[in-house]
Amino acid sequence: MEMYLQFGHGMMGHTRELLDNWGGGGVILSPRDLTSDQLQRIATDIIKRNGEPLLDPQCFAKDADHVRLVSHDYWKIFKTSPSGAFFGGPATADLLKELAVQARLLGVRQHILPGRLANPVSEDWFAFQENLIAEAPTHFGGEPILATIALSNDAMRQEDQVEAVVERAAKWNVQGFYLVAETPTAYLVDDPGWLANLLILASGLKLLGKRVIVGYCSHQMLCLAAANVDIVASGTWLNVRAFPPEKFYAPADDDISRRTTWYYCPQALSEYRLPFLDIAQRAGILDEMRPDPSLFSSYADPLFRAATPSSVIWGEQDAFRHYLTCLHSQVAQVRKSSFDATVDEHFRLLSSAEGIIKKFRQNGVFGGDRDFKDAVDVNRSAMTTFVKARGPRLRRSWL
Amino acid sequence: MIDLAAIQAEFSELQNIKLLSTTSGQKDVFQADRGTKQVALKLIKRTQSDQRTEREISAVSKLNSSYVPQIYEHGRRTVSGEERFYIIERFIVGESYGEVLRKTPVQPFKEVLRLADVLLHACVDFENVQLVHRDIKPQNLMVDADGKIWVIDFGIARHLEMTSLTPSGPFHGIGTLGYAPPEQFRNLKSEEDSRTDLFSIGVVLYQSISGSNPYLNLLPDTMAVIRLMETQDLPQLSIAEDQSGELSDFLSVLTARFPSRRPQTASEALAWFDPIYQRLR
Repeated sequence: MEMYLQFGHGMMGHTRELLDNWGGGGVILSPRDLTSDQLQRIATDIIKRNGEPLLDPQCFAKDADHVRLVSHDYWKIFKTSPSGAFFGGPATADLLKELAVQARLLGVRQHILPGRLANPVSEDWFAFQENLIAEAPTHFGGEPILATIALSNDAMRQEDQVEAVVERAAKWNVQGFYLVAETPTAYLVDDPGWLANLLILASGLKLLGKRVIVGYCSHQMLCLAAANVDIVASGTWLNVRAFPPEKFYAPADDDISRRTTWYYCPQALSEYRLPFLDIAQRAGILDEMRPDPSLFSSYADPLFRAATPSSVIWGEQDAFRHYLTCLHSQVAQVRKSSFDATVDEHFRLLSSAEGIIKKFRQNGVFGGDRDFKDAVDVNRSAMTTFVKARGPRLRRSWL
Repeated sequence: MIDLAAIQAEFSELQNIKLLSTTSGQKDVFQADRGTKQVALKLIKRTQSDQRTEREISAVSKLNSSYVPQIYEHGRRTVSGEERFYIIERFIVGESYGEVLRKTPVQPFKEVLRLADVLLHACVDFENVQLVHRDIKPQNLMVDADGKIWVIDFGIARHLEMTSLTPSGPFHGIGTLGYAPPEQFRNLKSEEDSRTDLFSIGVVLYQSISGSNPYLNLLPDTMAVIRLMETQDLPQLSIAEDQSGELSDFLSVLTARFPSRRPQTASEALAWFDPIYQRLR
């Protein structure tokens, strides 16, 4: 499995640095966070660094009004065309034509199609998707096309809706899928049924023999390796590690209100505020919070050299780069040579994290709402349900 | 009212025409002799649409399967002043698998493996001519005097290239409760293909191993049966002869309530089952 960057607010510097470190990589660009000029600049920088830009059209809701998002030419077509014009009318062709122009300017070579947020999955939703898919090859010159499948939280919780998508998608003439699922919470998912359905959906799409990219992921989605997903995308702020549709309605100058620096402890799958690293130091267990060298992140080294971690000038920049570097490595390590080995690895990761979290908590080190303690059982439950649903077919098809 | 004399008069090439003790709602079925061969004569009632009849005949006549009785002749003839479709096909001397299960609800393991092999091969034959049987169940399987298994009664077969005759949209399609998968009794035509038959095959095999059809335990509450089939998969079987659980897994996949969770084609299902069969038989 690979990790792409999910572009969000303030990520230009992070993108350049991380692609330099990694020798390249994919970046899913966000028109909500970038003006046309910025899109052009960052796409050029990505390509210079041996990276691959993709463009997420973010056409999840026609009534979205985020100032930067609606400033893009293709978005103006989406917003101003009557809805009916996308069902056999000229708007589909007009939208894709403009997107193709944008894609050529940015050097995009795999094309994510617009996709509305399904709430619920319905014949209308399928019709919108299928009109775009039918029209797309005319505009993208034989290059790979990825259908966006964006499902609301309510749709994600319905097994029959998720399976209906898989069933229908089998007939779509695309080379892959870009899957975006509204999370039930602001960050870590607390609903095992939702997570099981994400695994079932992603694996069902993968079993169609196509490429599967899952956007807006956090470290909780390491489990997607068992679904044989090709790529997970993650970013800096929480609104690119989880999918909140309301962010496409926010005003331009909102964005991030809470600015606390969190240290990601990869072996605990949890994040901690720096004062809790001080507590760990006092308890003599700070070294146990250090990331394994195999994750290649030196961004957090200053925290482990200082007199006290919270005395170090270690801010968002370091924290984000540390998180994404660790996650990039974890993602690369979680898929094993068989389905069962990959599932076992995830259960091992969860058990190990659970033990580490327990020790940290016994010593007064707590992660608050980023502590993975409760998510351990959510992931376990979801994996167990998923293995029953898709295990036999995935076992046979694993390559 | 069956007029055997009129039938004998029209089908003078047949001898000893006897009405079989069971008749379906769609056709009258007779046993007869044609020279030295025993044949089944099916007369299709006028209540059935001509298109459905012709489609059944056309679909099955395209089949080249050693598991389906050969059709010798078909056409239209007038009996008692009424034009009727007819089919003359090989008569299978034996008993239905339904009768076999009535006498011995839990079948010997190796016999179940053999049954699975036959049914999956038959399903591949159907798939090769884009045919879906849609009514595989113990009563539509015959075991002849030599122990060979036959699939009969393509009365509601669906030829995938032809426009479906059973209208979509209504709550219930055609099929037998307890053996038809959810997409069939919900009449979701676009989802009916070989996977529909694979589900039914899975249920027959499950019943043969466990001794009962767990869906039908909820009868006479039909809605309860439908609700169960739509919301829950069958419990995984624990089979003594299948220590590795691979047959049990395979049956779970065949009987998955969502078609996307089953093998996607009969060929895939057979390729899946074949090494299991080789190891366990």
